[in-house]
Amino acid sequence: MKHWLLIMGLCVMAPVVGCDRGAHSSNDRETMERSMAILGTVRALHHEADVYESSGQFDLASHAVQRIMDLRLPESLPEAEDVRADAWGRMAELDLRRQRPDEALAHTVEGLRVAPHESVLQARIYMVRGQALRALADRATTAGDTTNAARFREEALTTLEHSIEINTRILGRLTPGASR
Amino acid sequence: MNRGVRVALLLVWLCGGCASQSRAPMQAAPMQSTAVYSTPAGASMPPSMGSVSVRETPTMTRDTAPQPSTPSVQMSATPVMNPRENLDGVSDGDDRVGAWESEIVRQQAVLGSSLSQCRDICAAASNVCTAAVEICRLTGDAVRTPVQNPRCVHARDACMSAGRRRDGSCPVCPSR
Repeated sequence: MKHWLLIMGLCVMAPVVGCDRGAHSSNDRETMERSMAILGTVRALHHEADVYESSGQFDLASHAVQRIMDLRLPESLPEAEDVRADAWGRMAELDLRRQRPDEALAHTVEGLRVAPHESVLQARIYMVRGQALRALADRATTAGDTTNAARFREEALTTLEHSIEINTRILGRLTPGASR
Repeated sequence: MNRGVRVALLLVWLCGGCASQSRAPMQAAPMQSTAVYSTPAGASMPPSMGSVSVRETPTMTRDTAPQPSTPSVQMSATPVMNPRENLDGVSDGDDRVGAWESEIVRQQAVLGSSLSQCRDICAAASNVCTAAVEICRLTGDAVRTPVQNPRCVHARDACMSAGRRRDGSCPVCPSR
C-alpha cells in the first residue's frame, strides 16, 4: 500500500518536476517548425517568381508574390515585417517592369505602411517609389503636362535621396570600422 | 526487489527522461559541473560525489561510445561535451546528443547572422548606387560630363562611399 501511495505521489508530481518542461519544449519546437514552414514557403514562392521573372512572365511572377502577401503570418513571427516589406517591394518592382507605375506607387504606399522600421527593405521600397515617380514624371513630360512632370520629378528626387540616407545609415551601423 | 518498488523506480526514471526533453534550460549548470570533476582524474571532485566514477577525459563516456566529430566551425569556449552526468556516473545519451544539437543550432545562427549581415550590406550598397543613377538621370547628369547638379554629385559620392564600405566588409556578396 505504501508503494502505491509513492507511485500515486510520483504521478501527481511528475508534471511539476519535469514533464511540464517537456511540454514547453514541445510547444517551442512546434512554433519553430511552423515558422520554418512559413519561411520555407515564402522562399519557394520567391524562387517561383524568380523563374517567371527571368523568362519575362511578369504576370505570373506577380502572382507568386501575391501568394506571399496572402500568407497568414503569425504576429509572433519575428521575420513577419521583413517578409511583408520584401513582398510589397518586389511587387512594386514587378509593376514597374510591366510599365505600371501607378500600381507600383500604390504598392509602395502599402509596403511602407507594413514596414515602419528603418531597414534595407524599407529603403528599397523608397527606392522603387522613386523609380515609380520618375516613370510618372516621364509619362507626364511625354503628355506635355509640365506641371505634374515637375512635381513628380521633385518628389522622385526627394524619395530617392531619402532611400540613400536610410541605406547610408544602415551601412554605417553594419560597417562601423570601414572607410567612409 | 519488491514489484512496487521496481514500478516506482521505473516511474522516477520515466519522469527524468521526460524532463530531459527540455534541453535548452539544462545546458549551463550540468555542463560546468561535468567539467569540474572530469579532469584530471578526480583531483577536484566535490565532496558530495564520493561514489562518482570519474573519467580521465571529457570526451569519452563510460560505455566508450564514440563522440560526434567536432564540427568544422569554431566552437565556443563553453564545454558542450558530456552535458549531463547523473550522480551514479551514467551519461545520458539523449542529453549529449541534445547538447550537440543545441551547439550546432547556435553556430548555425552565428554563421547565418554574418551571412545575413553581408546580404544587408551588399543590398544597401547596391540600392544606394541604383538610387544615385536614378537621381543623376532625373537631374540630367546621366549623359553630361562633368556632373553639374549638386544632387547628382552628392548621390554619386554616396554610391562610392557605400561601395568602399561594402568592399571593406563583404568583398564577396552572397548570392540571393
